[in-house]
Amino acid sequence: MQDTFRALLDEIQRAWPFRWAGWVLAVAIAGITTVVTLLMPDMYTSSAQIAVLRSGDAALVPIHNAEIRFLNDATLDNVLNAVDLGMDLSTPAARQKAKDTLRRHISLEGTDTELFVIKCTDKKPARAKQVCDLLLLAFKDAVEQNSDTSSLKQQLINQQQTLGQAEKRLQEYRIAHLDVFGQGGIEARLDAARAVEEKAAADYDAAVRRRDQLQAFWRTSLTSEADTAPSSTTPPAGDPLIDRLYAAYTELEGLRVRFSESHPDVVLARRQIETIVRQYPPSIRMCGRDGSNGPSAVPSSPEGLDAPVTRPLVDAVAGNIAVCRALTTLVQAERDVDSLGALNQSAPPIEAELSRLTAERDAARDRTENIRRRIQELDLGDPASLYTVIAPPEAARAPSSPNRPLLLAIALLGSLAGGGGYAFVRGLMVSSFVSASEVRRAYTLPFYGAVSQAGGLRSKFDRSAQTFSFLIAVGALVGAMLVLILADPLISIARGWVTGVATSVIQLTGMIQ
Amino acid sequence: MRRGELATSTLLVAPSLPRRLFGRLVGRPVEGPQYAVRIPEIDLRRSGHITTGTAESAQTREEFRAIKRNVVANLANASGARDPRVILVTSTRPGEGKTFVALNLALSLTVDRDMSVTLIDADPIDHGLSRRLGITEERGLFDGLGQGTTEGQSTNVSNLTVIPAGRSRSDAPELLSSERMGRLLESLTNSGSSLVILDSSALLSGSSAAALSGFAGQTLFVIGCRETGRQLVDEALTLLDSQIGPLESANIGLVLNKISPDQSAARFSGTTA
Repeated sequence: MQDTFRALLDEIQRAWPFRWAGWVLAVAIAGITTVVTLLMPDMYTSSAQIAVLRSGDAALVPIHNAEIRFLNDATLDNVLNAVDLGMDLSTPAARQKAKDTLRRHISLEGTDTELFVIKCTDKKPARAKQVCDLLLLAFKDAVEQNSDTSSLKQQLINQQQTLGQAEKRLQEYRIAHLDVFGQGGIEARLDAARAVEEKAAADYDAAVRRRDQLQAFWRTSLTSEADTAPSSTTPPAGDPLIDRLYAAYTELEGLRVRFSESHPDVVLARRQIETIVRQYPPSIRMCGRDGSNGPSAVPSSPEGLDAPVTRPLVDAVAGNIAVCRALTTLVQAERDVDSLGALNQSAPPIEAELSRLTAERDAARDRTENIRRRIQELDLGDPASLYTVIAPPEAARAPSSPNRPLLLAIALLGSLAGGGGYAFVRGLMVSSFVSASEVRRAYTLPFYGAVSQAGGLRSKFDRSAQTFSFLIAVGALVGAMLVLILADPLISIARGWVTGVATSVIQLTGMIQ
Repeated sequence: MRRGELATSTLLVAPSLPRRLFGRLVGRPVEGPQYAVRIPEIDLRRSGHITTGTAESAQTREEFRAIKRNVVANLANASGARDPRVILVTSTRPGEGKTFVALNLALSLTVDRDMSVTLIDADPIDHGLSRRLGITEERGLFDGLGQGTTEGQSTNVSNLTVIPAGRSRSDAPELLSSERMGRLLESLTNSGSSLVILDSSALLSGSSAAALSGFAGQTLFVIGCRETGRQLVDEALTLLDSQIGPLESANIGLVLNKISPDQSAARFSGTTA
């Protein structure tokens, strides 16, 4: 840090001999820029503020493009024809140049979405106001043209088409995914299937319990009727024992018609029936896992049969059949739940797409309604009520530009920077040594010492006088510029003086020529 | 000729300066004819030199005290065969302050009571020291080298002897590099002078300074502040390097002359010496 400071001091010392050249350059820069600034013409700005009362695309969108709409060639032509701007309009090229110049002095600013400012700048305040008045009229025309409902109606037609397309897309999608969206939706259907499954499971459990009770009762009746144990052989599919039992009953009925109850054939047939009944093992005559292959029909109780013998068997078979039917129902319910569950997994993306299509349809419907309502309003309303002129154009009393204090301040800073920079650059071009520290840095040889410049007190006085005079010169430059910057009346006086001198010079030049 | 013979035969330190010269000098009253050259105090003071008993030159005295300390410290460091008591003052180009430094260094050294200094104007072109002391018309170094006898002239400053340049000669550079010059310096250092200071010409303006560097055990290289470009200094140091070998071991010291008094490290102390 200290080395950097010393190096900076060295550079300042190196630049010091060129200080007067730098000062002269600074004075030249300041003088030229001051004269140019003072000769710049005053510009006056006239402005009009307009508030657009009715918001909405139809009213605002064209106004956003108003620079294109109302600052067009026709408007500028009107202004050029109506106001004498002192421009050459004799040829198309000159007229175009005049339009370009005029366009540079006109601006439309939107300070808010509904507040607009038209600004016109000219050397004469009255002329600026005149131009601004004309532009305000053009702006009003642009807004009133925009209030015509024809464009809105066309927009309505387009919007209705869009709405129809959106609804069609939504309908087609619903049909394509009816399995998801039908019967109250996938969730409701799944819930219903789960309820059916639960009921079927309960029915199945009840049927199993009933069958077990009936079988237990049948076994008890067998034990009391005969000593013969039931066969453990599995009856063939289709339950032929029941068929054989029915055939035995049929045969018994025929024999009983012809013979008495004590006839040996009748007795034999009755014993055969008892044998068959004992052989029937309803507990192993079960249906499959899904309820299939079970006994298909409950045997009816044959008339005239010995009820105590056959009734428990028939009830047991009927119980078994009920179990199989309940199982079949349960299995079906479980399949329904599984299939609906799988369908539910793929439902979210489908539902999201449906939501998107629905939102699209709703937005289109809203826009359509909006345009329809606006058309209705415009048909009822007055176009002039679309805007209000908040501040009409007025002739400016004070110039809006140039900002002379700012320009003069910049000129002052620029001149100081220019002069200082010149001296600094010239100093950089000097390769001589200006301080002991610089010599020390440059060489590794021993540095014995530095000797002051000869001249004693007089030399010191001379150096002080030189420094003092330079500071006075710089102060004079800064002071003069500050006076111009800070004192507006002085600026006006100085501008008048400079303008007078310049005019005189121009006149004198003209006379000489 | 044996060593020391020249000193007895050619060196004459005697009051041989005509009395008319004293009339040009302004300063202390002449105390008597014991010296040949009177140091013109007022003239020197006006040009910033050290003068005895004045407050104005206090800062310059302080600055030269610092330089003197370095020179005296080097007396113990012999640079090869060269005697460190022989001090060459040179620079890159004329006008950088060689004579100013040489004269002030001599004046500063004479303040030390056990030091005697012989100041030689060895500049064959400018004769700057002789002009400054007003002894341009005297016989001097080049006359003595040419004829075989060189006379030192005593001054009103105690322990300070001056040898002016004498009349210009076309063979002055050759004389400065001759054996006679070597013998003269040897005789001076052997005959009582503690130090011999050679005020030479600039290194880049002639060959005499480079020739003298071969006799000097110490060299003060003067750089003019805001005057001497770095490139010229480099060039001069390269020339010196080619004459006397590596600079780092040759007792060469840099002196920056003509700095602004505000920059000077030595501040006015108010003391008089």
